[in-house]
Amino acid sequence: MKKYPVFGAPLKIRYKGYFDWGGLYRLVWQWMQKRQFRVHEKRYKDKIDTPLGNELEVDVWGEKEVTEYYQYVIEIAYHAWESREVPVIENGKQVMRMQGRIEIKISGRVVTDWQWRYKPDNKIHSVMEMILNKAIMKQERDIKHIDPFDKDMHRLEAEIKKFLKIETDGSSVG
Amino acid sequence: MSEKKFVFQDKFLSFEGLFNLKDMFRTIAKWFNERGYDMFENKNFEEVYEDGKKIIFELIPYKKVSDYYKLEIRIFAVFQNLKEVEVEIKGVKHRLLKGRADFTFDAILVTDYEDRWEGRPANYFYRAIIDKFIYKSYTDRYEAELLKDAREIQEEIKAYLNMFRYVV
Repeated sequence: MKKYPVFGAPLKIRYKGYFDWGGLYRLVWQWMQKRQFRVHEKRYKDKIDTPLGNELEVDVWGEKEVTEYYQYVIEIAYHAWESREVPVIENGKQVMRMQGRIEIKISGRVVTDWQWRYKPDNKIHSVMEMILNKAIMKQERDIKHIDPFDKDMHRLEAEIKKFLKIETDGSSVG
Repeated sequence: MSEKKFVFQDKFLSFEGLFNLKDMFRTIAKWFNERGYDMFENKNFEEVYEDGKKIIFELIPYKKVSDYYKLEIRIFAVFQNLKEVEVEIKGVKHRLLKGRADFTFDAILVTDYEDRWEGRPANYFYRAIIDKFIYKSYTDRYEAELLKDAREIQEEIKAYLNMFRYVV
C-alpha cells in the first residue's frame, strides 16, 4: 500500500465572524456522502477556553474505494477559537449563530493497493508494486485519479467559502 | 528535494479604491485556466470586523510542462479595510468593495519536482551537470515562458483594478 498526497500542503480557509457551525458541518458531511465516501468523525473536542468562548477541534475523514487498486481519502480538520453561540437576526428571523474564528484544512490522498495484495515484507511483491506505481500506473494515477480528486477538493473548498459568504467564493477550478 | 529557482521575486502591486473582488478572483482563475495552469488555492482567510473586512488569499497555480520542469506562480494578496459600496455604472447598480489591496508575485521554476534525482550524492552531481549543460536550453526557454506569464498576470490584475479607477 502506498499513499500519494494530492496537495503539498492542505487547503486552508480561515474566517472570523458569524457562521452557522451546524450547517457547515452538515454541508461537508453531505458533500462527502453524495460522493459515496464513508464518513468518520475522528475527533470532536469542545474545550472551554477563555471567557470569550470555546475552542473547538473537529476532525472528519472519508474514504472511498474507486477501483480494486485505488482508494481516495479526504480529511477535513476544523479548528475554532473564541466561539460561542449568539442570537442573530437573519432575514427577519432570530437564529443562533456561532461567533468566533475558524480554520478549516482540507487534505486528501490517493491510496494504491488498499487491499494489501502486495505484502511489504515480500521482496518480489515490493518490486512488483514499485514497477506498477512508478512505471505502469503512474500516468493513470496522476491523470485519472490525483488531478480529478484535486479539482473536486477545490470545489469543496469553494462550497465552504460560499457557505461562509467569503468574498472570494468563486471556484478556482471551474 | 526538488530544486527551485526564483525567476520573478517579490514584485508588488498596491491599489486603493473600488474593485469587485469576486469578479477579480474569477478573472485570475480563468486566466490561469486558459493558459493550462492547475490551480492550488493554498490560503483563503477572511476576517469580518465592525469597520470592514480583511481578506488574505494565496494562489499557487502550477503547470507541469514536462516530467522534469514545473512552472509555479505565487500570488499573495492582502485586502484591508474593505467596505461594501453600491455604485451605478451605466444605469446598472453594482456592489463593489472599497479598500486597500496589496499583491505580491513570485514566479518559480521547479526542476525535478518528482524527486527522481534525489538520494545519492552522485545523482545530485549528475543532475547538476545535466542541468547546467544539456538541459540549459530547456531551462532558459521555460524561464522565459514563466517570466512572461508572471508579467502578464501582473498586468492583467493591474488592468482589472484600473477599470474602477474613475467610478465614483
